[in-house]
Amino acid sequence: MSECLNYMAWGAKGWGDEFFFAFFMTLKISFIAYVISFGMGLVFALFKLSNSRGLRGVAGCYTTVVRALPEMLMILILYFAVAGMAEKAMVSMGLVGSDFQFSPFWTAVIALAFVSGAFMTEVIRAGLLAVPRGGIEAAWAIGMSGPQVFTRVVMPQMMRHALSGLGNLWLGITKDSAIVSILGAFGELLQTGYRAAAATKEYGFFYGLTALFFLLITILSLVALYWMEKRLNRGQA
Amino acid sequence: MNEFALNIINCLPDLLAATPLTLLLTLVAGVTGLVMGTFLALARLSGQPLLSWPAAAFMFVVRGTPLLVQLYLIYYGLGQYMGHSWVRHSFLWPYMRQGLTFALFAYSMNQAAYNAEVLRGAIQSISKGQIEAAEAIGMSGFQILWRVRLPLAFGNCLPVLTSDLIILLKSTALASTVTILELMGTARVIQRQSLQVYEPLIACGLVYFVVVVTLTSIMRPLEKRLTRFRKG
Amino acid sequence: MKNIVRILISFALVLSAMAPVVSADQIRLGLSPEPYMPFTQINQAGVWEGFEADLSHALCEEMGLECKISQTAWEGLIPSLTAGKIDFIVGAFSITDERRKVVDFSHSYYNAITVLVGMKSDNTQITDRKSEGGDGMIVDVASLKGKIIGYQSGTIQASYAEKYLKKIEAKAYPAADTALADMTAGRIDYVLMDLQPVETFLASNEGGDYEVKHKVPTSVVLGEGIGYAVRKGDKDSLDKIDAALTALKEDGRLDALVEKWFFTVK
Repeated sequence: MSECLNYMAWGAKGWGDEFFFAFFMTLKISFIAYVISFGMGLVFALFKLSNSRGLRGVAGCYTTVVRALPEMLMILILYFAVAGMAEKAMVSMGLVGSDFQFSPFWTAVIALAFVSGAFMTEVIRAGLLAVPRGGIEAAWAIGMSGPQVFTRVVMPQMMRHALSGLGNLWLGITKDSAIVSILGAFGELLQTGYRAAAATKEYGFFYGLTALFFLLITILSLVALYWMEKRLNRGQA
Repeated sequence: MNEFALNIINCLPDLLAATPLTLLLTLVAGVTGLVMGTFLALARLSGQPLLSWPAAAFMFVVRGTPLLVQLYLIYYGLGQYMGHSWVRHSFLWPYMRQGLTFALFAYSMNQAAYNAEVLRGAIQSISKGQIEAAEAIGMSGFQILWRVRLPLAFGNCLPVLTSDLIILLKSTALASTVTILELMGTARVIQRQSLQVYEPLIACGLVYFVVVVTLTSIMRPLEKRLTRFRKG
Repeated sequence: MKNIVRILISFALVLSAMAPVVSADQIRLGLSPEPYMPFTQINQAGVWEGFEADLSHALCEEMGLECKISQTAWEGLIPSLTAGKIDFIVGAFSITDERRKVVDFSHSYYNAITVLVGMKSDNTQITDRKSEGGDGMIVDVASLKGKIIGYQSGTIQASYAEKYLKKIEAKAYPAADTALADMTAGRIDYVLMDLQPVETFLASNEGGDYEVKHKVPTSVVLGEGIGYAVRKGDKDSLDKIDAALTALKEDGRLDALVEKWFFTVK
């Protein structure tokens, strides 16, 4: 038992500090990926609801293909593809200089976001459809411009309807972030657990510990979601 | 461009040969998970704290941690433990030796927890009227369970269960990290042998896409058939 | 709609600003983070240790450049190199003809020996035989009948097993230490790998019940020793590395490092 305490020591001799930083790294990766995937989900949901068949087709392709493939496969493909093709594309479009590279961190985050984005599209689309038309028409009637209607009327109501779906996607992304440990070292939880277990041969202990840290993230997230739901539903009958 | 397509096609035979293993994993873990999940849901909903608390804890932990972590924990953690214990010298060893056993166990466990949560909700949402009617005509507790509660619950949540099965199919890709040579694992082996980066992955994606779409299109008529006597 | 487009573009610009710019005096080394002593490992303090770590520092000092170590997954090493994310691949990377098709190699700086490691209590006699194709002596797969071997995928040992040991059950692992873990768990009987990490394992707590069962005869498949890999056509970096390696060989620093880290070969 005392061995276990030794393993968890802070500093050079133990893995305690590694796990501490890894915990926050997992949160960081998950959060940034979530925000990007929300952006993507919003864009593609609007595509799906738009009048243009082309946009609807693109969005439909995206969601169908990405949701039919394993996350691990998508993340692997995107990791190598973003690294190669997206960089070349951005250079040739003149957006960035020729020395440009996505850092491994951003490549993994974008890959994660891209996968989640497909599911996010569906959640946001359902949320948008659930917003009552009456309110939107009233906003148009009093002369609000397009973007104003969107940000002041549609979005707040959409968030309320989509909250449970968005919450589930957050929980999903925090768990999917473990998959990026396959791509290399980002100092996130599973990778740290792997290194610790491999160095000390205490596989059960360290993988169990990794699971506990993920569980902690889940618990904290559930508390936060509960609080957010209470807040968003204020004033609702 | 042609070379690219040719490379992809060259990967297909090996990949198609690995597809049965993926389907086997899905089927075994799916069925085992469903059966275990039913027991879990019933335990969770039983009035006995001795049953419902462990069940709730199990479901919470398994659903709150990533599948990959569970896979590693069982494959390496439990594996090391078994390798150093009495199991090594027992008659079970040829089965316990195989990595596949551990992977199946991890997937079944994971699937059971998610299925149990879905079933729990479905069982709880059965209208009281049905139960009261069954009690009124003198059915025993077990009969009510077997003939009323479970069929209604399954009918309620069948679409969710089938989509959970598809999710299981996709998650079998993670087994490639613990030496199981299913579809994804084979694709990565081809990657390393041929030093090609994209072609094996894209070929693998094509196979997964076809399998998932086929499975989904089989599921829908199946769902309709199984719930054909339900009203509303 | 205009606003959204503006937001997206500024987003992309912010993203691009966050990517690190590579300075000219920096060399990025790609290293696989799995522990592979005595070649490389990252210890608890996050510091790289081992033969490769020391050699890389010595080389960078010799070349007068700053070395930045970038952790990359084993199978991501070659793709990262060709994509330009790293400049060198380091870490017991063997020179083989297969790999020569996609990367260029420096001079070899160490000859790795491949062995089979297994339980002491295992009395199987493993023998060699002449190969049909005139490749010299190879391990006789018939002497391994009924056994299960493991190896790290993407390595020269993987190529060897796939070419000569097809008749027995073999498992590929993402890293050498996972193969060793499965051996101690009893899932496989032997691991086919480099001698040096095997010696490290045998000297550890876990390795007490194990020993080297057989030394695999040298073969073309097993490569020509380990070297630094650079992008194909990157003659500049290649010349720098070769010059530095030669300097280290000549003044004995390379031998000193070999002496320091490696167990003497029996």
